[in-house]
Amino acid sequence: METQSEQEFSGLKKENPFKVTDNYFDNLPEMIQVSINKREKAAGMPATRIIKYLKPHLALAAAILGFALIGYTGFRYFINRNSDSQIRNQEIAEYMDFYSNDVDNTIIMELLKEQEQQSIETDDDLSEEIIDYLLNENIDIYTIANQL
Amino acid sequence: MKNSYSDKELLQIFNAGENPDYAFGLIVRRYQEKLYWHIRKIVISHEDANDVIQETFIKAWNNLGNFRGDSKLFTWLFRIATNEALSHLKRSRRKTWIPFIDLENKLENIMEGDYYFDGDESQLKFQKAILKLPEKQRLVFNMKYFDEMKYDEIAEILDTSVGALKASYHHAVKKIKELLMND
Repeated sequence: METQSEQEFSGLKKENPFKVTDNYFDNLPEMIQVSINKREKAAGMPATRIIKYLKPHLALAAAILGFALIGYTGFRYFINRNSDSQIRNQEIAEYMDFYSNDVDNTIIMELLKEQEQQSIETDDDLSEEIIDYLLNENIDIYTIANQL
Repeated sequence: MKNSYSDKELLQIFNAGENPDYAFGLIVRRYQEKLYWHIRKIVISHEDANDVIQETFIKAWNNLGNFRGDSKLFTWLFRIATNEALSHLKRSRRKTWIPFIDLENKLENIMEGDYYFDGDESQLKFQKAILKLPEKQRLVFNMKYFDEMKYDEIAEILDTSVGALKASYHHAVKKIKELLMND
């Protein structure tokens, strides 16, 4: 399979087309050594060691603090919502008490009577108008009854 | 610097603790080129390959004391280099939120504008076709075709069966051939 595939790419050079700067591989071991020393120095520094030691503990503390904060915020929200609705109900009750004392029942009754009277008068006016019209046009009421 | 020690001898010198820097320096000199070209074919850019190879040897330095010798030193180093190179690609994909298809385009652009790419037009086309392969197929193809590694060695590095590798290589060759013909 390999020989066949290599034959298939026979028109192409098998050479590596990538290159590097001159002396790159001569200098690379030194660069690597410098990187290793830097890394070890950083790892050996007291602050880094303390951070490295404390990192998991700090992460755990931050997680607990986060959960506590979320829980506390949720609790506060719940409490505030309940006290809000209590205040609202109380306010409505007080408002109703205050205004119900101001309004007299007799005034309401008079108003209702007045409205009823007005509607009766309007009905009477309308009936008279209809009768006048029928008389003027000389329309017999029985004819209307028969047509209906 | 004498470099006629076997890997086993170098490991013994390293583990003896008297002169680990010396032994490690010899290991770096022995394998740096092979590892660099392997990494370069994965990450394409020289700058990235330079970062990855340094990271590979730093990891090797930190873990060489725990190396039991169950596999060859060469295989062990190649495995670290492969993992580091693939992690580097993953990180750059995550950093820029680019999906696989765009990463492939990005690598193509890097190659086209790369000062350190010395190939002619047909080689550029060939490399572009290789870049279009899925990540694992690309790895297998490069290791088999360019590095001329044995299937057993590749299987140990990539932790896969020889059968699966043969299939991957076969598919890779077929795809590259198709891509070159359609180009």
